[in-house]
Amino acid sequence: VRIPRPTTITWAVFILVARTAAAVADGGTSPNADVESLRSTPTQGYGYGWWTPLAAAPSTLHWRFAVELSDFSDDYHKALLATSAVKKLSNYVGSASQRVSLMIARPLGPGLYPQELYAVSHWSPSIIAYRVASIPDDEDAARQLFAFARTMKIETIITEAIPARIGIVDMLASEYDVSVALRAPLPRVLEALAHAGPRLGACLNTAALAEERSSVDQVLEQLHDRIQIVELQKRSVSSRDEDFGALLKAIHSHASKPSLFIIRADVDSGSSSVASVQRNVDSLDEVLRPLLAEAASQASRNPTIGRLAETPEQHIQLAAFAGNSTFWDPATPDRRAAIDAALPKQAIMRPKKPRKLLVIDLNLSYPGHNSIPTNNYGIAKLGSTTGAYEAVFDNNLDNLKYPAIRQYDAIFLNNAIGPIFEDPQVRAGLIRFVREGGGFGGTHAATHVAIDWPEFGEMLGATAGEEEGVAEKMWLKIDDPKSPLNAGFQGKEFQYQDQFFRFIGPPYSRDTLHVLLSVDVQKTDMFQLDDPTLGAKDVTAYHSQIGRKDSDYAISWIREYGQGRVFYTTLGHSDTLFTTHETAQHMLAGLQYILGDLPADATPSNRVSASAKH
Amino acid sequence: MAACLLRSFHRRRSIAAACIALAGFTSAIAQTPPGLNWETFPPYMAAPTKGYEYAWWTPFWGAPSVLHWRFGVDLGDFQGTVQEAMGEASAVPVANYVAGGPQHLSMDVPRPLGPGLYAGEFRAVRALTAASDVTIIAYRVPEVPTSQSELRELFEFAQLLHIEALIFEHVPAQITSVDALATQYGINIAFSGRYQELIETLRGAGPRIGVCLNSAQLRRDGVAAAEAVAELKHRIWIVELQDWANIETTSTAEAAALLNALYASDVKPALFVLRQSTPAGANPAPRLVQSAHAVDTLLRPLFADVAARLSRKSNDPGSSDPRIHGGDFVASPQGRAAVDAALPARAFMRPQHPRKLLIIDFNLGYPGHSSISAHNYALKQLGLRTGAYEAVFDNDLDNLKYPKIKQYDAVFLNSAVGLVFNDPQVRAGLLRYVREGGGFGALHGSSYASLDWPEFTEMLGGFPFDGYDATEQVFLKLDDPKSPLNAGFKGKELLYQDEIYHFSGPYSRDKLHVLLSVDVSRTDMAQSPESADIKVDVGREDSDYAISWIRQYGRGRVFYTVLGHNPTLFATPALASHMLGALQYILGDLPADATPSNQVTTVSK
Repeated sequence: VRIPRPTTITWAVFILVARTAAAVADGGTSPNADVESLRSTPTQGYGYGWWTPLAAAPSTLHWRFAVELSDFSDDYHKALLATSAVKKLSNYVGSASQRVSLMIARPLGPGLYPQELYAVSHWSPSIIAYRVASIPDDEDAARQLFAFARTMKIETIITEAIPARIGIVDMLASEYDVSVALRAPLPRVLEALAHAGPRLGACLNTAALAEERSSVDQVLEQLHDRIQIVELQKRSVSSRDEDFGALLKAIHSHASKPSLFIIRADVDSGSSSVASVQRNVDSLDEVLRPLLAEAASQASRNPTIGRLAETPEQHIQLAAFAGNSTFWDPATPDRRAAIDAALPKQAIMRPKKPRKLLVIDLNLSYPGHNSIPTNNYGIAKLGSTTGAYEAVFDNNLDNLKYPAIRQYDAIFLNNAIGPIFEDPQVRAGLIRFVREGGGFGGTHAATHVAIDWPEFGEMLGATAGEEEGVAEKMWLKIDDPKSPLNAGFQGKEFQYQDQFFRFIGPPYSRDTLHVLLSVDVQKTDMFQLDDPTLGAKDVTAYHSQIGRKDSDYAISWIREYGQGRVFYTTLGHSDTLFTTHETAQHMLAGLQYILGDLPADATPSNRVSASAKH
Repeated sequence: MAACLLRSFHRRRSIAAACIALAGFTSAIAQTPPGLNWETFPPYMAAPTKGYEYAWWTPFWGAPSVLHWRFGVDLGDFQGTVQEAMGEASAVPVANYVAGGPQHLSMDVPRPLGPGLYAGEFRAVRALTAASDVTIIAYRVPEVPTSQSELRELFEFAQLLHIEALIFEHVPAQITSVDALATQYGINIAFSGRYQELIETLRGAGPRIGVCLNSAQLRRDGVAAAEAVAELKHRIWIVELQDWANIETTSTAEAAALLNALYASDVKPALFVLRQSTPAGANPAPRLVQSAHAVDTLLRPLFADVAARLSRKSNDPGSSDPRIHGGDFVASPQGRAAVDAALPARAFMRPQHPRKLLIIDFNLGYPGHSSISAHNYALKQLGLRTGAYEAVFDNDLDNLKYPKIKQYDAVFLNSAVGLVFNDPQVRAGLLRYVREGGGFGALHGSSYASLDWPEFTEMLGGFPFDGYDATEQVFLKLDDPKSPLNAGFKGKELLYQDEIYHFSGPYSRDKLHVLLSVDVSRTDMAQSPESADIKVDVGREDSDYAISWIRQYGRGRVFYTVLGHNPTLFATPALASHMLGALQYILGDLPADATPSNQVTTVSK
């Protein structure tokens, strides 16, 4: 079985991310270096992304976001370079008012020579939309414009003037498979669209809507699904009339699906249009958060998500949810048999009372690890075999609200990923539960849950994490040989193959965590990434940027959080976690620790070693 | 320029491209001052020396191909891990590294670079050097292993990493087995240490055993450079130039003596290592750059000597020295026929008296354009047919010294590339001659002659900062249709295929009378295969890409054309006429308006 990459981030982006992470880590200015680095990853198309609401919007809400290059420079190429200052977005809107480049000192548009067109397409993946002052009335000239758009894979031409001969534009739009968005006062747009086919639509601009004092709901009533493009723009930084949130909420509730949102510099953007765009980009996370909370809530209540795929039908359902049928690997009979053979038969401590462990494997903006069903089986079977707990598989996030959450003894995330905790009540419930003495734990990708929620990363002990391939063989060093959580290793280092996350920056710290296992960097080949698709430069750039000065790559830890107990292990990408006796034993101990039955020293590692010295 | 030059040129450009894009150096490039600035290398010149490849920007870069001397730095002189050291060392214009000792490999791999690395980590080292386009050429061994098996592991490691030499910091007890392993693995051993011990060690040693000389150690041992070189000769594998950052103000003579002795004895060590001791925590890179600069200055007299010797040989027809090219008149029969058909039959003006045109096609640090011979043929025929001049083909640089140079009416460079003019007397002679009324002309690659000589670039009119490949088709716009040099175009633009350089620095229409330039409105400006990722942001804001110009320089006359990479220059009637007009202009027979273009424009307004 081919184990999928856990992320859909491209390697190039990952390199960029890693580099940024290192830079931030060096500077020590960011509260959370790993998160800062992920923030720079662009959204493009409808690909998965889960680090912020904006990154998650394309895959979750089916909304794409772009920047307008003419906001940055009247030179197309310079503008492309300038956008690197505005992170997170890589869909671009070009403009006929722009010069192509220093060397190609002619306007972006029809009339460029073939190799010049090739050069332009080479600089960026695509110009997703293209702005013109007007579409020529002359059919031949208009045809050249559409041919250019088609060649450059431009999806939509935005015209700032209503074409006089709308019939010709309609015809060419169909012929060339290019949409046309009319950006003009609403009544004139409505009038033009009344006689036009589905390829023609409207381009809304929030600054213009505010200027016209149009009611958002009225606009949506009138345009329905004819909104192709929405420009999120303010008249100035201090303007309060352009309510991005109200418009987006209305679009969401009307289920109108524009093909593109353009985040623009303010009409009066002051001295820096880059800063203006960045400000508006940054403001979107909070605007989108309630919409994502709703999406997460809906997904979490989906009754078909059981994750203990008992039957082929369930497997198909899971695959459908995951969005990628090839990745899912149900807990097959042979895996079950292997787990049954490897699991400890007895609890380490008899539970003080019957324990309930709530297991959550919800993934949002990510298809999910294929080891989830197998590891769910392991968790369930471990509980029933040893009597340590009863595992409850229920993703419904309402269970995490206070006081509903108190019915459980601990919450455990089995490779949950994404912005699943966006609802303030869910966040508050979970944190309060642990602070008041509840248990909390997670495997592997749990550090990729709610990446933009600092308290969560602090509680779990790490955020995100860098990985180097999916099948590294690591020597697990036993940092605390006396801990009952490590008893299964019998004092011996243990070689294990998995995908390991490396936590470069905060919140990971031995000042707060009691590390149980870490990578023995003396015994381990620290460069196992061997992907033939990567060039030497990529490998080196990637590898070289993700190291820690102290070579401390922790694998498992426990900590106290308020009166509660937390256990995390980076193991669990693969489905061998419970088929391996030693790690199954480690998991049982970890779970009994967070459930409150197994006492263990959780003194932060650095304090242990400091007192050992005295 | 010839394909080979272009490849290395563009490879280096592409290394710099990422930096250009990231750091937004665009404007910095456009404003590159004439000549070279060691403090701020123009990005494409930051290319390191590695192996023995051609490079021609200054003697330091030319040393590998011209003197067969390579330079490197010792990563152990840097702080931090090997990987961090490589990052810092990238600021020094060398690509050969000495590694070894206790330095850890990287943050991820807290173990020394050596036989103990795991397989993946070993691959990482390879990837690291490949990605940076550098070589770990020598490996320092502070503690030579005592057991035979460990010693063998060391040699196996060195072989896997393609290390050429191991530097042993002391002589091990089992010298004979070291000797045998060195022969078996084909890896040289360079012993470093006190001079007298080295001499002892070499006694009776096999051919793979040599020494690593350190300039500071030699001084401490009280051994004169000439003496050491004479005694050790070809046993000198490695020469460490210790703390040469300020050598120009401290011990120039001593430093020069070492290099001169090696040059005079024709000793070619495998590597010169720039070394620098710095206080803990300091980055030695800036001082190592100064060391490279100091070496550059010391190398110039050696280059003047090489150039003088080679230039005297290079007129021999059929010379087989790969560093010399052209002068052999071997153009293809078809090429000759095309040239014969295209050359003008008559001179523009009858010469006022018999004219002698000295043609130089000398290349140093570069193999030379293959079109040189075709142009030489045409230049000779053009003179014979029209009677405008007698072409003299003689590369002997002594001809350029004053007053010898006065026997010619003009000097013409036929794609003379590289470190051509190093001798101060040659430089002074050429400048004085033109200032006093002589003629000077050059085509194509000649704008790359002596890039480190600002006065030359100023006289020629431009510093080339960029070149397309030779397959680019451009429309030649007639900037001055009335000029007699443009008469052959009959007022029409010409579509011509050639390699078009772009110019910065002293290039300016305030000084030059531009005859031809690229018609950017009619030309596909992205024809180069690399235009997509590189050429885009190295253009000029004014889109002014001049092709040919004339100028007055003192009382003399100067002509330059970027054309001539391809051998079709004189086989194209309009361009053959253009060239004849240009030659007659610099020879002093054809009057032409050389008023700087910007002044012409102002007047016509």
